[in-house]
Amino acid sequence: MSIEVQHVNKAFGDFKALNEINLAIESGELVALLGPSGCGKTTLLRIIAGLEKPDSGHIIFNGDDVSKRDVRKRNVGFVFQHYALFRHMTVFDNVAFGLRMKPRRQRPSETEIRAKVMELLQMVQLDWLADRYPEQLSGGQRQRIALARALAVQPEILLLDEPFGALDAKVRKELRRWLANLHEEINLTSVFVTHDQEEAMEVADRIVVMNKGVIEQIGTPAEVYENPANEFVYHFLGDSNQLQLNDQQIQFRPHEVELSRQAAPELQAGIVRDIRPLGAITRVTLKVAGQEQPIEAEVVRDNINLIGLQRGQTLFFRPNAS
Amino acid sequence: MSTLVLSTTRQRNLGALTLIGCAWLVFLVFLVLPLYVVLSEAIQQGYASFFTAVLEPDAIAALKLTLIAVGISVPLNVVFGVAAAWCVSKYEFRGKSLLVTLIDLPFSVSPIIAGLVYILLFGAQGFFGEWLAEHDIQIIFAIPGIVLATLFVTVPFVARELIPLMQQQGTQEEEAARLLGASGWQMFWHVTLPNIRWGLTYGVVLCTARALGEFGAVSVVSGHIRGFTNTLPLHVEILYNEYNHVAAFSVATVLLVMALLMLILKQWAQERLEK
Repeated sequence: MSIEVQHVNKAFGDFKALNEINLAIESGELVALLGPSGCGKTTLLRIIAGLEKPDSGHIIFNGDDVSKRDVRKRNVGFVFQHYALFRHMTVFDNVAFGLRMKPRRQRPSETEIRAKVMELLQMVQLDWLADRYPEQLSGGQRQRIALARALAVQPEILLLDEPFGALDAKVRKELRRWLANLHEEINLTSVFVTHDQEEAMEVADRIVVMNKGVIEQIGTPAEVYENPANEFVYHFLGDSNQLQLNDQQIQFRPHEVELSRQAAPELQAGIVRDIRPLGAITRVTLKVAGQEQPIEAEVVRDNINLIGLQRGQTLFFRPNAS
Repeated sequence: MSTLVLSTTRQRNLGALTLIGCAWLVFLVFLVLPLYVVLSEAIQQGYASFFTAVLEPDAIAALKLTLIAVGISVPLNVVFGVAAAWCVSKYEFRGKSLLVTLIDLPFSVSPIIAGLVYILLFGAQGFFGEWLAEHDIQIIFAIPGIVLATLFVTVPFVARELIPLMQQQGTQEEEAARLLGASGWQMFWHVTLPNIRWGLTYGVVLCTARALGEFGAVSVVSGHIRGFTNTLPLHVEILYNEYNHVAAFSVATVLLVMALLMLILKQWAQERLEK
């Protein structure tokens, strides 16, 4: 199901949370709303879900204006950052909740509900936890249960609010790959909110970069990274170096650099401050004379210039932004 | 070095022991001793006179009236308390802090004043007095007055217990329920109520205990008509003023037993709440 957001505005008192937001999401897409905290991304997600009313503007699902439609009639699955599992219910009852709340005529029988719930629990690989209570589960398990619960009512849209925000780094990485795979399988139009650019880059088909209530850029991960629309997007999507060259200020990413042990006219000199092996790449921090900010250079770990390199030595470099 | 550590722990133990000892002493003198006196006075002339006093028609009538007042005021307070706590914790609106302050009013106002206010409103010379007399409705010196007075003094208990609990729990589970298609009523019944049940039980127990024992406000509006408008606490006072100590303490024992029962229930609810 496609989602269209048209001219949406929302203010909380004097604070303008969203300013003229226009966005079109195609059926089956996985879109990330990316931005720093307070940029309005969660508000936008909640407006799409119907949890929040926009001051003006429209939300359109598959051509139908749902702006006036109540939350429970919008048929969206929603996953909260802090899971919002029903704490007094078992995992099974949590997942079954949406099915049991259906009007009597549409409600499946208990046997059908059982089959459906167990199928969902198998999908999230947690069927062995059916009788536990949420507080007995780890964060990653809770989030997968929350996802199963949201999918139980067969939503046509899945909305996820910082779904991995409360998890530790390793679980986070696992879970987002898993989510990307799941999306491949069930191909549900999905929107997720994140402040983590790496997460957005890794999972999303398209990224919507937001800042201070406006959309700065919409594009595929490659587009927004390689052709950032403005300074904000450039800085938000990755680390960057600033180098004062004569009277010119140059910006480049840490990996957009060429190193050398030999001086040459086109190269800058820097004193090695730190060498950090980070797995596949190694980060070298260089201090350039006459500028406060150090330069970070990231090169593959077997780069020839790294052999025998020590702190305090002088290294020569050149930004080679493509 | 080790002796130094030893002596400080011993000192701390001594300090702690003194404090604990003081607490027990206060507890014994101000709480246990009076309870013991009530019981021993009640049965000093044997169990027969105890039961005579307790089963006497006026005492039974007083017990009934007390139970009626509790039976009406507690459910009403549950409805009001849940509704108020819901409003305060789940919505933002103008005058919210005023409402929260007003809920506490019965805690700060003397019950006697509460009683007097009802006399001024509903008494024969009161604000609604004429209208009530015309329609032959008796509030003051009758059961409705007693129920109203009890209601007034017990208003804060349920709401006060639930507001912090519901604020802490937030609205996300309710939102999740709505998103999964639950109606307002289903959401309340399946999500909100189970989450607050122990807090609610705790509030209800406190509210009941207070309603059972309320003296001041009820005393003003009751008129002290034996067998008709006397609640148990008022009955105890009358017996005591008539120098009928055995009967007074016997009826007091009934109140005491009910209070202890409430205390046990309270403890039980609290333990579950803390889980």
